[in-house]
Parts: sequence; C-alpha cells; structure tokens
Amino acid sequence: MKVTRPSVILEFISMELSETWRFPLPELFSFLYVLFPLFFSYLVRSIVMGPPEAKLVFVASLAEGTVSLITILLILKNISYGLANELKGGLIQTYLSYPVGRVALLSVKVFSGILIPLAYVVFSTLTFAYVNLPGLVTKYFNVLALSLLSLIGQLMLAAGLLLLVSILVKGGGASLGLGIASLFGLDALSMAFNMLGGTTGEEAYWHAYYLLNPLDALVNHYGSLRFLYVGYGRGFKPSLNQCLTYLSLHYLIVSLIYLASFAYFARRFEP
Amino acid sequence: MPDALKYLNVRKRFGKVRALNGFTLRIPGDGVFGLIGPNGAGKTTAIKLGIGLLRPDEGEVKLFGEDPYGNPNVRFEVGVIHERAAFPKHVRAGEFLKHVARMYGEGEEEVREVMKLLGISEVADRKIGGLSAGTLRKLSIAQAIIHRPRLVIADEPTANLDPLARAELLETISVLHKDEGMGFLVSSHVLSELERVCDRLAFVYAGKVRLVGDLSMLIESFKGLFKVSCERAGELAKALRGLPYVREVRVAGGDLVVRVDEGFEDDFYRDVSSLAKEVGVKLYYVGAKGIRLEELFRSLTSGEGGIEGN
Repeated sequence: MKVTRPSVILEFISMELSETWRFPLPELFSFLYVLFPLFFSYLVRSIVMGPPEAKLVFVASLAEGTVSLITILLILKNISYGLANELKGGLIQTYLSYPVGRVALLSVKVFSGILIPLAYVVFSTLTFAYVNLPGLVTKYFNVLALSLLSLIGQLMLAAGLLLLVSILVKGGGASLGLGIASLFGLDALSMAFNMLGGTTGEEAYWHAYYLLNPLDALVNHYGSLRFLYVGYGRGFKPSLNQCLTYLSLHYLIVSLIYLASFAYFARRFEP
Repeated sequence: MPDALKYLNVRKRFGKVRALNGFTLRIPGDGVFGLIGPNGAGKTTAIKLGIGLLRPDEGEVKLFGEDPYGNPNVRFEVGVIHERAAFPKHVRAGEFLKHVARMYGEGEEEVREVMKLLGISEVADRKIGGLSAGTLRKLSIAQAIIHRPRLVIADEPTANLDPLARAELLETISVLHKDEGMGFLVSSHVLSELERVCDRLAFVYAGKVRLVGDLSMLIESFKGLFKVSCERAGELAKALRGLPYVREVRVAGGDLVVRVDEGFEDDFYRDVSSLAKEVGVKLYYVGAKGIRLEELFRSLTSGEGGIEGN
C-alpha cells in the first residue's frame, strides 16, 4: 500500500475545514466553550475541597458535564450526520477518485470531525484551570494532565463508536439514530457496572466501571467532587497505579475501536 | 502504446449479485473508448474497479501498470467524472477547483483556463450546492481535466442532462481528445451518443465483455444483415428459416431482420422474392440493413451473436 503525498493531505485538510468549519460554526462553538469558564469560575473558586489536586480533577469533571456535551453534539453533527451523508451521497467516492489513500482520507475526517472538537475541550479546560487556579496548575500540572487525558479518552471512546457506526451504516439518518443509541448503550453499560458495584460491593464491577470512566477513578482517588454525577455510591477508592492502569486499558479499547474503523474503511468499505 | 487500463478475468460480487463475471478488457489510453451496455451490465463496477474504489474478488486490474486500489498515486494520471456528481456543497466552485488543482500541483492559471474552456467562469464565486445540474456536470468535467490527465474516465457523463447539454458535453469530449490529447473511457447505455465520440467500443452485458473492437470493424463484422418489410411477417420468417445459409430471423416491429452467412447476399435477394411468392406474402422492401450500434447491441443482448472480448 503506497502512501499519499503530504501536499494532497494538506489540500484535503484545507478543503475539509472550508466545508465543515464554516461560519458561524466555529464562532458559535468558540462562544460556548468560552461561556463554560465564565459561568463556572465562581463555583470552582468558592468550593472548599480536600486536597488541592481534588480541585483540578473537579475542573475536568466540570468540563465533562458541560463542554463535553457540546463536543458530543458537534461530533454527532460532523461524523454521524456529516461523514455518514458523505459516504452515502457520493462525496467520499469523489474524494477517493483523487490521488488520496483511504487511511489518509479518513484521518483527515477524524482530524476535522473529532480531533478539532477535542482540541476545543482541551483548550477550554486548560484556560479555565489557568485562569481560576493558576497556582495549582503550575504545581500539580500532572494531575490536571491526567484528568484531561481521562476526559479526552472518554470522549474519544464515544466518538470512536460514532465513527465505527457511521462507516458501517453509511446513511445520515440511520447513522445518527444508531450512533445515539450506541452512546446510550455505552452509558447503560457504565451505569449497570456502577449499580452492580454499588449493590454487591464486588470490586470487579468497579474495575469495569472505571475502565469505561477513568475520570471517575481519579475523582474517587483524590476524593474530588463530581459534577452531575448519576450513580450508585462513590465506589471504592483506587490507587494512583490503578487509575493509570484503567486509563491505559481505556486507551487500548479506544485504539482498538479506531483501528477497527480504519481497517474496515481501508479494506472493506465499498463506495 | 501500453494499456492505460487492463482487466484480466475480473470477478466481483455484491452479496448474491454477480456484478462482474470474468471481465477481461484492455483499454488503450490514446483514444476515446466506449464502454456500453444496459443498466446493471457491470459498467460502473468496472469503472470503480479501474480507479481503485473497489477491489476485485478475483482477477487483476491495472491502471497504467499499477494496482489502483493499493496505490493512490496512480490516480495522478487520471481524472474521473462520476455519474452522480457529489462535491462539497458549501465550498465555492472556483475555490473547490483551486483545491483540486493544488492537489495535482497545478496553479490558479489552470483553474481560470479550465473554467473558461467549459464556460463556468461566472459561477466561480457561487457555492456548489446552488449550481444547476448542467453546471454541476461542467464542474465535474473541470475537476477531472484540470491537471491534463492521460486518461479521463467518465461514467454515464450525459446522465440527467437535457439534449442540448448532452450535445455540448460530447462535443467537449471530442475537443479535449483532439486538442489536448487526452484519452477517454466513456461509459453509457445511450448508444447513439457513444457512436458520435468513440473510436473503439466494448459491449458489456451480464458482467462480461461480449464484444470489443474498432467501431468501423464492429459494424463491418455485422455485415449480412437484411431488413425485410412485408405483410404477415411471421409466415415469411418461418419460410426463411428453412434456407440453409440463413443464420437468424427476427421479427422487429412488424419487419424482419435477417442475418445470412457471408457470401450469400445475392442468393438471399433471389430466394426471399421466390419464397414470398410461394407463401403468398406481399413484399414491400428488401435491403441491406444499415447497422447502427443499437442494433448491434440488441443482437448481442438477445443471447445470440455474443463474442468474447479479447
């Protein structure tokens, strides 16, 4: 398999940005992402928590309950609706008639449809943390980075599912419906592990829960508050090593989902 | 000249549907090659395989000697006009062509030239989503030829166009071939259109190439066809079938189409008159049938006269 020339990839990125990130979308979402730090600043500054690290984890938890929801909507629009319609409507077929490889083309789509929205989350959360907790960010940057990695991992898992469904289904409406259903399914699975862990007290269920929600593992490790938490109890308190293991395994699952999407698109997808 | 596109015993299925079944064809890149066949014959599948959009289940496809599925760079040599043109709707036509041009290492001068050539300069600032079907088709041609490819592959390029736009498009193909030296592979199920622009043709039916050759040669190979106008054509048909040199008798629209062995043309003129008298049928007209692609096509798809492609 020969690789695509970089100049072609750059041109596709440019074309993709013109099509997907056109006025007023970037402006609107920039506003929403800025609104988050403005709106919750007072909350973070005033709430008293245990250790200082807990405040930083709470920032990520806040982002999970606010900007992440906007991000999921954006990814649904870009991937479940946008990409799926391009697959069905023939635009991807047109693109694949140019000297671009399948992996390169899907990478451009993932960059524009998933990675840019995630960059918004990272930028917004970091700005929020720096503005409100400048001293803590400098001193405990590793905690903030770990929290952000966990949050991004969770979003990447959801986005990966949407991507896989879109490529497999190849139809705007159906992809959107099935994509949303798959997100609900992921949440239901998460909730089931949470409830089983809470009611039976068995750690295995909590391990499974933390595997899908590594940010919650950090929340419980640092004894942080949890924004918009719907669950059964706080669960057991994992060690930092356990948190890192959950995070690593979580990214392994994420990687496998993306690998499956790319492999299917590169080897089996027929426009 | 080496083949621009080569199919060797290609098979392709979509579920239970066998789209191509031993498809073998060599397409030189120096002329206008027509791929003709009814809807569902396998033309679009062959084209998609040719540009690497699909991978064959069996057999081999080579585009300028390379596997088009595995090597996207070979598509620098081709331009593709799809039957259903789909472009980014919110991008302006001129901007889109600039993107495509830069992809091939071309500049804005080429964009201006190609837009002028196709008469779409005035829509450069309009979003693609707002263009008419005819203009969209011209944009489709523009993006395919902007880099002066060695081969332009056009899948049903005249689909959904009005007669005037069809004529214009065919004229454009001829001009680009003659003036710019571009090779074309044009698929269509409208035979009269291909007849106007192609110098070589392949007939595709049921996933196979049934006949391939120069247009003039194809017509020559169908010598010996006669049209007979008479009353009660069925009765005369029955009598004609008894002649040893008559290979085929078909009733078409009240007339008879008769194919005789080579060298028996004079015998046919003599015998058809006497047979008509014998069975009491009045003859109105007997003459060599001016063969057109439609008739060639009908003959091939009727299950008789199929010739394997080379």
